[in-house]
Amino acid sequence: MEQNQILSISQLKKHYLMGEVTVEALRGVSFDVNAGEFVVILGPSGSGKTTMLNILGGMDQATSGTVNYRGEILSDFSEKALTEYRRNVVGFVFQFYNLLGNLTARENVELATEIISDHLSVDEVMEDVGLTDRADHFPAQMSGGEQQRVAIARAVCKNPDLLLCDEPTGALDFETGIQILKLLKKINVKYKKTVIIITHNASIAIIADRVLKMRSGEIVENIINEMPMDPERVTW
Amino acid sequence: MGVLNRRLIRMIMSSKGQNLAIAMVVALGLMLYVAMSSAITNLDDAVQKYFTITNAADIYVEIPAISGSEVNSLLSVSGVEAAQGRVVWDVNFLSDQKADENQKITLRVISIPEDAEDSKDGMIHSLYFQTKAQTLASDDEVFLIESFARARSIEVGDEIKIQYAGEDHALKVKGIVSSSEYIYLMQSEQSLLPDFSNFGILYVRESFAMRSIASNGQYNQVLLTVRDSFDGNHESVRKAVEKKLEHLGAQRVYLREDQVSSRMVQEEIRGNKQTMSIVPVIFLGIAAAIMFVMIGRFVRNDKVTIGVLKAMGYNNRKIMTHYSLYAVSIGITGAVLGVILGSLMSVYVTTLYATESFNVPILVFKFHAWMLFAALGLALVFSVTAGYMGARGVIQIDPAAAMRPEAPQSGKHIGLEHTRFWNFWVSFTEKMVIRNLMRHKLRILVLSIGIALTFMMIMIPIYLLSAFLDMFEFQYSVMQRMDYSVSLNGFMADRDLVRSLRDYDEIDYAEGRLEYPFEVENGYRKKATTVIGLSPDTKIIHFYELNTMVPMVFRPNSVFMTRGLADNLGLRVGDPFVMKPYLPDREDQVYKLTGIIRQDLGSNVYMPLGTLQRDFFGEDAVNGAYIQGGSDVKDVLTDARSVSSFMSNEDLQNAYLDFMQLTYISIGMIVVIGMFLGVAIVYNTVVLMINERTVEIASMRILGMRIGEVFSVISREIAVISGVGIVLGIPLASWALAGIGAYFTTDLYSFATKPQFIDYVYAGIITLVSIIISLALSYRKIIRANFVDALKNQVS
Repeated sequence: MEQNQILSISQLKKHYLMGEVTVEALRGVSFDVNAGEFVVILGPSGSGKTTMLNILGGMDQATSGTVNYRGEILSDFSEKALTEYRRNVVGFVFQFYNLLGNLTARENVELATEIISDHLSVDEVMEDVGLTDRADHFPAQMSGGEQQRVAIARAVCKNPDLLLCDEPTGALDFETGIQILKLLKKINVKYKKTVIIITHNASIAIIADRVLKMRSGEIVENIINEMPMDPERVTW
Repeated sequence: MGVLNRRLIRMIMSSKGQNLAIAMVVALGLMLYVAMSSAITNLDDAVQKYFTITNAADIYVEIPAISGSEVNSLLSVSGVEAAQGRVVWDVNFLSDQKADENQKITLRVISIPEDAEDSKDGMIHSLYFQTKAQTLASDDEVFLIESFARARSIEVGDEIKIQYAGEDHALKVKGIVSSSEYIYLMQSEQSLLPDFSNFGILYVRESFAMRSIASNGQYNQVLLTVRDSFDGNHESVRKAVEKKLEHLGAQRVYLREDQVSSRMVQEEIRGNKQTMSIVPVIFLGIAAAIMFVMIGRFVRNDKVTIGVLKAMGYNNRKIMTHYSLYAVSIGITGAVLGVILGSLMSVYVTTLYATESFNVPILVFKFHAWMLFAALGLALVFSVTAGYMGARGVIQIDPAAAMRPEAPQSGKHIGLEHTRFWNFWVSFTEKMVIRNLMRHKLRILVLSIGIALTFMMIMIPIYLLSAFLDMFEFQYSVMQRMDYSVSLNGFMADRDLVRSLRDYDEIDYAEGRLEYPFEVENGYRKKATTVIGLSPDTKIIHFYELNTMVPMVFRPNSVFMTRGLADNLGLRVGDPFVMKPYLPDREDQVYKLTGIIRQDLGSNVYMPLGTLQRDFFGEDAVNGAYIQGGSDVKDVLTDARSVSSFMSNEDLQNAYLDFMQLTYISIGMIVVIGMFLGVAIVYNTVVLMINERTVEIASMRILGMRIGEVFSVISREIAVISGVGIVLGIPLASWALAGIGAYFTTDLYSFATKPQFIDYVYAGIITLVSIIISLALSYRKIIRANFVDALKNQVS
């Protein structure tokens, strides 16, 4: 594993049962991610993007193959070690935000920092995502974009190495989607976080340092983008 | 406060009604526990202390006559610390009140040693004075027991009149006292209930008793105390005393635990202690079961949240603690409520014991801190267990799988769907109801068991009420058909007695009776009981077979026994047993048991008069009679010199009905508690069902179904489940009632009453009412639920 690499994925396979059907979600995926990279994984529905993100995030176990995080193999981790990995290394952003409905925006963020000693300042992150004024509102009182900002703040505040985003703009309108992408880019730059976004929206690829195209559980293209663009230039 | 704890509080507050209902189940159980246990502990402590400070007897001896020197000779028996002879005799109290004209009022005269003032002088069963201890300066001064004095408004300094052997004696009340021997003031085991205004205790100087009452200046009772340092048990001393007095013939030597008052108190304490070890477990068990199901459902419904928490790095323990704390919070809230209500109620129950049931002057309310900790500890154990067990599902949740959309539940056609009936006669909503029921068998089972438990809880008090009424109805209308039961001063010839009684116009019918205490033995098992001799063609006592209620013929060779006694002695029909008389110079006799009869109150042996006369009492001897006649018979009996005492069936029934007033209140309370449990169980389950099915219910609403139509689907499901629950509840209740019957059957009471069909109907109706109340309460949940949000499913 090269010194700058944060993740090295090799021959990753995943099968699981969905009701009465066996799904072959990943069929031998291999790629590397460098620290501080902004990666976009592109693919249609059912291509295995979310499954891969879950495995990278230590939420799911691969059927075979390895995920190497800074020299450590995730599949060798015990349940306890995986929990520690999720706690200290990874920040998740979900498509449907998955905020806790009976906690305020600020409390949703604090929920993440409560179990971390080396976290970022909640106030600072709330200001970064532009929600200082809405901190005491409950999710039901916020728009989709605001909820996604809270979700990002919740993930960032943990001060993770990896920010894993599952269709972060999937449930949002165009304008709000751009705002969220700008925010993610800002976090990538300001906090030097490795950001991996999975999406089916090909337009987003132009802002990435690296683009991985997936189809039917396989990586079909691994593109290094020498000139990533500003999110303002994204259109769909 | 941590963020998860804040979430917990909001979760609890968002389902206030549901949580309060569970907390109240916990509170009710602990309220009863704290109230009753506290009152019983107060009573137990006070009784033990009362026995100590009044130097209560350990052993009692009843004997026709014993001299002072014979009494002193008992001190040589190993273990005996003190012996005290006394004269005890029942006399008539003469009342000048009009209301007492036809009343036989009995006072038990008990002699006290001349030199005894208080326990310092070593008097056994020393008297307890509310104020300063006093002495009887002359023979016409007496002490009167407090309950009788209070019931008749007799005060210190008043003059009372008694009649003995045809002579009237005027006596001055020197003091009002209490005695640890008469904590529960009953004339005999046959009296069943205390009757403070018609039976009391009078303490007189020994010189007066010896002169006026005792035969040949001898005692007829001995009280003994056993040394604290004695190594052996009291029973061995009792046996030694019995042996020592063998040469004096008739005697009855028994321990304090067999003395009527002491036994009644101990029965109350024992019964309540055992009940209180079960009651909180039932209530907390039900609350824990509801919490277990509720937390389990929460965890299932909160799958995505749990996935998110796990994705953030929360471990299983932390998440499980979060959900378990939900149950613990409810449990602790209920416990605190229960402890507060129970403490308040225990003041009332202790006061009730002190004023209405038992005469223990030193009985006061005491606060028992350990009980509060025990109650809190119990609640904690149950709620932690329920919470932990319910939250175990957290471990199974895989964070990645939790985020994935759930696969549709596997479904299949039910057999009924291929029938013509299904297609043509079952409406769309009915099909929904049937399919839902068939697809959620576990849910149906859980709710049905809850309803079955409710039915059982409601059935128990209904049965007890009908059993108490039936018990009395059977005893005094079906089995015994006399209007008066008369005891004579001594033995008389049956023919003479019956002839003299039938001479009175007021008496319609009379028959002689023999009634005498015996010791009945079967091997090592023995029991003191009253044997009753009856004419084989008795028109008064009617015997019925225990289980079938088939009338049993009382033949000249019949020997019948009540169930409790036969069980105690381990006897079956056909078994021989020994009868040992408390009579001098009479041989023990062996008889064969020919029948076990139903008798709900008291325990006896019934034999033909001829057999008892032949073997023990001599030809034609009787010492009592049964009489049928109107209320004017009382005049005849009050005036009759040969009559020592009599009991009127009507008076007994009135006393019993008075006693039942209190029972009605207690039973009503238990029914309400049972209903509350039912409402808590059904309401919580219905709310859980609604919460689980918000998407399904929202879909129905969006399809255009009205709230009422949606509600009718749920109501019909509950109706079917209620039917199943009630049907399950019938055998469950029958099983519980059989247990209660066996548990409460003692020498004094026997629960032979079978639950009646109408009892089940009442229990079913009350159960349905509690289900309807729960449905009405949950209706608000459907109206208030935001189904659009449920369908959006954007926040977990």
